[in-house]
Amino acid sequence: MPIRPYLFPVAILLLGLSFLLNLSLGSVWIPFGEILSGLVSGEWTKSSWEQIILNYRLPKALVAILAGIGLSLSGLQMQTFFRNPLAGPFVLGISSGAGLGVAILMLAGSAFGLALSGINSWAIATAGILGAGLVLSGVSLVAWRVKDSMTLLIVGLMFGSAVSAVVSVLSFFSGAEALKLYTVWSMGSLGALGWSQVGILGILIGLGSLPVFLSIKSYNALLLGENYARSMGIRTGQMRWLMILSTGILAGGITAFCGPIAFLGIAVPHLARMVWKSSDHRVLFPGSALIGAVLLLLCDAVGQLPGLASTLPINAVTSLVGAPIVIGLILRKNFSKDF
Amino acid sequence: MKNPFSKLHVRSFSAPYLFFSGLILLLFSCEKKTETTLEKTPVPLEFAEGFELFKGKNFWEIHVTQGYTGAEKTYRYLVLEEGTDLDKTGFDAVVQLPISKVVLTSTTHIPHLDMLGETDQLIGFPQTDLISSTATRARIDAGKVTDLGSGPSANPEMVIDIQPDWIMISTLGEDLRYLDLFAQAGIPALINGEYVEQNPLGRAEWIKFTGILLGKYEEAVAEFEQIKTAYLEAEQLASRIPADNRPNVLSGVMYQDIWYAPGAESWGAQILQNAGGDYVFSDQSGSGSLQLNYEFVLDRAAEAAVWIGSADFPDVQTMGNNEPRYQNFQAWKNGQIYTYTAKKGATGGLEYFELGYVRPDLILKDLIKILHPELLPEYKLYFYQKLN
Repeated sequence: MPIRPYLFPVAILLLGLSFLLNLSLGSVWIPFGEILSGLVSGEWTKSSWEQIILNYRLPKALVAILAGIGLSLSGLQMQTFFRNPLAGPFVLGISSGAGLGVAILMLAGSAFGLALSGINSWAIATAGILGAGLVLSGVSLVAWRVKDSMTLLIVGLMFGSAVSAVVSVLSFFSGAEALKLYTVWSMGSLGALGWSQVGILGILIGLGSLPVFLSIKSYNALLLGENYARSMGIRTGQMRWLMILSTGILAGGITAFCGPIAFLGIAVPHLARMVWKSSDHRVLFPGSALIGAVLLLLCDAVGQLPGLASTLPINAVTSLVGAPIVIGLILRKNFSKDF
Repeated sequence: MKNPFSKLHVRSFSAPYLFFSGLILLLFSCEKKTETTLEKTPVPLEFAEGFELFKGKNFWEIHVTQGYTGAEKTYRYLVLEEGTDLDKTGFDAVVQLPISKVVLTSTTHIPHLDMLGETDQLIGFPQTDLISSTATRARIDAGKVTDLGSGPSANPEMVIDIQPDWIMISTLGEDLRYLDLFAQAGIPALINGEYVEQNPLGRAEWIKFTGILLGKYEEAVAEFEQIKTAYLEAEQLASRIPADNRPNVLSGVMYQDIWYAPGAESWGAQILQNAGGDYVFSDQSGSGSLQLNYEFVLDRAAEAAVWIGSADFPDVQTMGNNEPRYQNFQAWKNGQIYTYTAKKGATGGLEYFELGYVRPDLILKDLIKILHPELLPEYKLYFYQKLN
């Protein structure tokens, strides 16, 4: 299979371009030269421009890159591990778990005497991480008991459904204000984070990516089936733990900070396979990470509706981009060839 | 009326067709007959556009034309005075006075009862904790008001169980789906669409709607006249402020990175303009809530002098710590932030959302006091509070 290594510099160049494009597009028109000179010299013609670029667009663009990388990496791991083209970062119920944590904070918080004003992005992220961790440990318990990966997948999906049901009950009984807060969270947002949170998210993405690089070869072996991998000396049990840990940290952390971001994690690995025409994970992992970052930067730039006062929620944009990709893939004949 | 089935007749004259189309025609003619037109004269309203009043001999007819946003159906209600009996067919609800027990579903209806001296009529309300009115709270504490459940709308079984003389519903609570159920149970269910109204006085004028349903129209008119006079006087006072002396006013709150603020045609924005303020989003049309991007808001309102109606924060510092990007606004730096969420009833309900609809004059005076304190030196803020 051709590996097309020359595409990596192209992808990195694209990443840089989309980063700049993302920085320069927004509701407020700021001349591109002004952005560059401001970033280089630190002098701005308008102080509001400085605020917008340094404290809003720049962290938002970095979050887009981090979240794009994290979601794509966890999506690819899930697809290969479960050998299921429709698996994504959230199949183990991780986003539902994070959603439950946030829902308890926002919707039931008032019942425990917590004012809505106490809900800031730190509290939301903490609640999200706790919720994702809770579901993750539940899934891990099951993973410990059952050895079959298909069972694990089904259990993960069921966990997700059960947790969503609890969220529905909470929403039904909560007030309009809290409900709105939760709905807004569930539509995803890249621009809600300050610099300190971006730092934490960066550390989480770094931590969550480590297990991926440790087991790239094992993923390649896994493509030929779990039994074959085992016969090649791959410790699939250990690998499963690494995968659960990695996607838990990646998807859980991103969902906690940005809300559930739909479709990206499913669609990007397929795109990477198409672009590099390869199923070698040494190519696919960095490829997916690059495409994920570029795609999320572009989706965010589109969602900003440049020139208009309003913004589209990031989830709407990623779904609009992601759904056609997945449909297109399903219509392709050799769809399941890679699995 | 044009017969829509004429084509069928041409094509086939078979007996079943004739029979069914005849039946349908019969139904149509019945429908027509039910449009009872009782002799009545319209009673004009001054500001409200969502309902119409008609007075006849010993009865009132109310047409609610905007029961909810985008309503196409006009709801026709008949209110019969004591001892009157008329043809009741064709009305969506018929209220027979006198009445002694009612169910309300929105806190904004509670002040109507208080102002008309009919607080004792209330026998049921969903989530009674939301009510702030002291008179009504006393009644709740005495156990005379049934809590109709904690969901967004009243529990229909409980409503039917306590058999009110009527129930006033607001579709914000999604009670609309129970209209048929209430009709079958013989409980008149009346839609109050005051929230659709964007003129501040139009919204307040809905007290006349409640007044008629309680048999207290005259009292309702008297109350409304007072509110109207107070509002127009205050508006007059603020209208003399020259354009260059109108401070820029920021409004709204940010969730994630989206700023939610009232649209330019909305009730809140209108009162703000009437109070001599220059609303920073006055070119962003809409009668509901606007969703604006943070950078747009910062670019537009970084220098705004006053920030009104912010979220539930105990003080300016907490607000800034909670959302550091609030700190970029001049109004935050100068501590010029006013909130209506500070004034709460005994059980945590917000008085602004309860009394504000029917007392726009108080909101207007509050805002004038904030923006131009010299105009109302004696006045004390009622709903609003400055964040410390």
